Amino acid sequence: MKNLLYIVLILCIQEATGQAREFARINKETLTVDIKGQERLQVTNEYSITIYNEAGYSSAHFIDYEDQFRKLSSFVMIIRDKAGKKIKSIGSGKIMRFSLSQSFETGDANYVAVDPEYKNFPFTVEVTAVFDQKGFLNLPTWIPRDRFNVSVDASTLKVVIPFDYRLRFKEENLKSHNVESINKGKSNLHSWTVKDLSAVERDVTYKSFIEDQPKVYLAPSSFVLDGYVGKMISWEGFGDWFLELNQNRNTLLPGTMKMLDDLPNDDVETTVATLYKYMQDRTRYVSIQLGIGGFQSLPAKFVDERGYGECKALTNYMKAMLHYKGIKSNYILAKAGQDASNIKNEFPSNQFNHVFLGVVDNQDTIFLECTSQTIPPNYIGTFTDDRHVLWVDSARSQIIRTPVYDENENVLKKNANLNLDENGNANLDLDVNYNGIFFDKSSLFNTYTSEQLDDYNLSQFDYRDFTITNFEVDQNVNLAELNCKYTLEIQNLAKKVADRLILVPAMLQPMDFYIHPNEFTRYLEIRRGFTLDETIIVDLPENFRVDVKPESEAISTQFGNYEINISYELNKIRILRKVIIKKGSYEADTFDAFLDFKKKIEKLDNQKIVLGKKT
Amino acid sequence: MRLIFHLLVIVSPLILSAQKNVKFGDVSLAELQLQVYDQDSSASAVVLYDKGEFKTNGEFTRHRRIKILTNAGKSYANLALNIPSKGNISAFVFNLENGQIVKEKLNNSSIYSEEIFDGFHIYKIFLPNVKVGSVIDIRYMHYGIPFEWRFQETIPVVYNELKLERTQYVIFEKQQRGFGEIEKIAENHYKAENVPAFVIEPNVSHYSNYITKFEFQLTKITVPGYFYENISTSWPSISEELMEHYRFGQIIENSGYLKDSIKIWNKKLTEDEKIHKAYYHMRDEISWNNQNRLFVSQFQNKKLKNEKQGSSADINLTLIAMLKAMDVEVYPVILSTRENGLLNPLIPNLWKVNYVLAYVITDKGGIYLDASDKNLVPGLIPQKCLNGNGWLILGSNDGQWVSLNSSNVAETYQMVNIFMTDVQSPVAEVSQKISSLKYLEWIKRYKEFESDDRFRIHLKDKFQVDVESYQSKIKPEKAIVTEVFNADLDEAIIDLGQELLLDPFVFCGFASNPFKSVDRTAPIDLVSKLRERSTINITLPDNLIVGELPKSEAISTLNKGIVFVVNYSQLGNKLQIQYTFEINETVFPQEDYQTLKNFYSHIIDKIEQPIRFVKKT
Repeated sequence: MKNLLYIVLILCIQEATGQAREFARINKETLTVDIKGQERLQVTNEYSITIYNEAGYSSAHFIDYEDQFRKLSSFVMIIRDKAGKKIKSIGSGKIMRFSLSQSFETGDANYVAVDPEYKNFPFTVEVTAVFDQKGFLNLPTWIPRDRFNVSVDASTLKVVIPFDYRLRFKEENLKSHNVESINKGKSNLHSWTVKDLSAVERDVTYKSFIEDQPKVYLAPSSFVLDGYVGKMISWEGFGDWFLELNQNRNTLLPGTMKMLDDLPNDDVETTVATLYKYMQDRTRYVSIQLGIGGFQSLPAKFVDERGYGECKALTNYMKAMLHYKGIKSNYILAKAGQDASNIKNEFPSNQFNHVFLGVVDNQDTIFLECTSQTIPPNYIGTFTDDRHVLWVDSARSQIIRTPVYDENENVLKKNANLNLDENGNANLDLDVNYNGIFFDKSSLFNTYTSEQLDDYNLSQFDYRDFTITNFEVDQNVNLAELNCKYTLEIQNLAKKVADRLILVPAMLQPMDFYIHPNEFTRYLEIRRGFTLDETIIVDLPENFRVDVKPESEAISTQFGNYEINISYELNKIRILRKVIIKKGSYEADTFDAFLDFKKKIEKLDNQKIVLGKKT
Repeated sequence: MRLIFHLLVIVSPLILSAQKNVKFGDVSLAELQLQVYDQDSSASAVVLYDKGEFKTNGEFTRHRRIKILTNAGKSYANLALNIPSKGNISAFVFNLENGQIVKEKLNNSSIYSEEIFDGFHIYKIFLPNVKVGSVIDIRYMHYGIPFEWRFQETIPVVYNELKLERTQYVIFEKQQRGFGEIEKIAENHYKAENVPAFVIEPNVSHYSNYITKFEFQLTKITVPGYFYENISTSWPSISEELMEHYRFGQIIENSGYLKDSIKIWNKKLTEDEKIHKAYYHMRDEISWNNQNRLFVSQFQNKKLKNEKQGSSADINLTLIAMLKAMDVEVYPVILSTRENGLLNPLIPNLWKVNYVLAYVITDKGGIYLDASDKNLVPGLIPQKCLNGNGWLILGSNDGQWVSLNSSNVAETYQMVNIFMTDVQSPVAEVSQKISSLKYLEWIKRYKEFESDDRFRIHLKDKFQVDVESYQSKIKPEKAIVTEVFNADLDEAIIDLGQELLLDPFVFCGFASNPFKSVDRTAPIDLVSKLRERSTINITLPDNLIVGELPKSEAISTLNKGIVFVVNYSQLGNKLQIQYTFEINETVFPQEDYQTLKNFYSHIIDKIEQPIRFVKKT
């Protein structure tokens, strides 16, 4: 589950019309994947790209990665000026290698990078890079046009395989597959070519841009990695390979075994909870990924001795303890992350970057995320919720879907008491309960430095002038409940006009804080539904009464519901505001309809409550 | 049991602060029983003990003991050390198990060597079995004096001691930073106790300027086979060292590949034209490679000539060389950029300097030149350089301090015409001129959007009103942009039936009070001078009369450091508001915090005030 190289493109907003700007042009690119056997692979990337301006300069860099199994064996970069004259040639001696790891991790993966160090635009960069791989699990994905504002004249993918090797591939948005026999019948050459792809402007999301691109995914049918033979024609095969790689790694220290022996026999749920808590208290997440450690977990004993490990090691440790108590558990392989894209179910291949655990208990499954020290059993949060994952089970591995947290569970409940003075300033006592996926926030409070925490707390309010005078956080880990209490001094919360004060009902946070549709891409994805449930009690300054009070209103649409209820009683205003936003993704017409829904809410949110002086 | 805990928590600070002769690998029960550090209950970890010792043989040894108090504090058990050998590191982890102290030694296999960069290794250490409540003891050794020693950290420090033995072989100077108290125990022997965690606050120049620490500067090293002598014992001597340096002074004396061009230009140009020609030649021909440097890189001439790119020093020192060859009076100004910390005029320290600008003397006075950014113009320097004073090198062994912040002002001049003709939806015509530092900010933002139309939607978000027909006119040679746009002010009015309220300051640049914390420990740095002026004209229809005008007001902090003026006037059916906001001083001592906070609050109070109109029937 090695974090390979992720090139993060920063999404910018663009106008919908007009010609796309062209920062660079790929004149010719050939990606050759030469599978020499189950254990040997050579990947050659040859390309020529013309860089037109500073904005395209990032495309002039060569960036890739190396690890224990994958080495850059030959490299040359040639820079030519606009007349085609060779300016310089950069060999492998000029390659910069730097570590990929952060303070809580170590590994043998390195970035390899070359900066052409030339800025006389336009100019052309020609690169030939050959990677030799000893053992492989993944094969490259070919996406000829993989970024915005870059055009492609011609790009070719060539895959050379032994005649008796079965290539697995999945093509999208193109049909140019060609197979021929080469090397006197000893090998087969598969190839795909695309021509004349013009540059695309950033007026769509990166996600939909990539979805629309012509591309070919490749996967091995059989492979060997560090001596472990695998078959990947089916999910069952892939799961079995993973099991074999990680078997016999469950020996525990005598002390731990004694603890387990002494543990009273209880039902599965209780035992799982006890052991999970034991694991959390004893360990911390530290990532060590050396050699095959990218795929194979460190032995349970390693974690037992040192009290740390990364996702595979911690998961394996937890599994070993459960196993010792006779409780069966299963690995679950996932593509983790709050915004992770879907895996391709129908194309068995290594599409994962994370592992966690599942325990079947009668009809239910208990999910155990082993990298956090502060979540309860069965809480997976936005890290692995609502997606296809591989449930690993000997000869029966299969794709399953993880639980969805819906708008009934994801509730942000706010109770506010506002003490308003006659100048419009206020003291706010706010109590916030985070439920469902909102419990994810607890990790902030467990990991942030005081500076980060201050910044975070300030970002939770958008008053023009305020001070947080008190903050408390309380977590009930067993129930996945989080509670924060804030005390604020707010200047000018109410607008002061002559002897009157004016307030709006959405005085805690406007809708924009929760949903901010992008008007350029005109695409909005609400990946998880949620509910905002607010009760605000405003204590009016003495001698003030309510002059104008908006009526109660409710809106109900396919996107969600909204309710506002304002009542006045004995020098107090009580505001009940409930917003339910359902899961969904919107574009074009539905995007407009959603915007309309949001505007309606905002209109009601911004109705005026006018307070006047009693006479 | 519960009671015992409480007692221990109460007495523990005394025990903790009393320790001076702490033995590596030997912790007390009290240290392990500590659950909350009572002087800072939110601390995730606390440094119980930290001692550095520099010995006459050139060895530096550090012993550091940390108590882990929360899950977040466990990160202090992951270390990265830049020292020459694994053998120089030892560590223990202590835990309390069933009332017994359990001690675990760091195994060599938990120390990972990692290549961070070509050939450059560090050691990564993950201490074993660290839990909430653990105490960790770390000791390591290296040769030579570290470049600084911190008595304060971002977690609290109970006890910190530094002992420096003086030796003839390694001679160094030290300088104290920060506001914490450092006690001198004996000659070259210091300690600090109960140092609170350093809180990184917003609007600070750079936190490392204020954390309590010693900075060291090597003066001389004489060990067999190695000799180093730093002659920069004063700022004028730094001038001398630099002017003789082959990657600094010698570059200035040689106009290199541009010799021939200069000969041609030199014949027929006035001084102003020479400056203009040389500056724009460098700025437009050469692209900056994002490196801030004091010295030019290897093969600087080739880089500039063939690759058309270079570091800030490659560009600016070559610019100085060109101007010199054209007989313009020009000098280098050396400085430390904002993220590199402030230079101290009292402590000469060449290692703290990381940037160079050109400074030309003309009839109109001195002008700073930085040709490394395509958005800059003569006289305008980037924000990263606005960091106190720079040292102007007037010649070998000569120089003077010059203020970097004084020359540039972030400026906005704005004219807003509001037509209330349709009382339900008034419209505004806005035109504004943005220049100097504000222009640099603007153009950076604008380039994210690339076109007026896209930028218009951004303004809509910013002002929270519908912005229409937006146009910008950029004058890059002057670092000025003029913007013209129309807006619907539906969102800026409140209709109360008989009355109508208008928020006239919709387009005011003043967004929010930057001071949000209750108090403050470090000086406040507002980065750059600022001037914002706005004239707002409101035209009223016959059926609307002014209910009341807010009071005009002019206020300022001491010595006009910050000035705010708002002036309301009415003539017939025309209303005029004139608004000025100026920052003339950029640095304020922390004692002024409350005053500044209140001052900003007051401004917000003023600009939040709507204008009240009464409808005539």
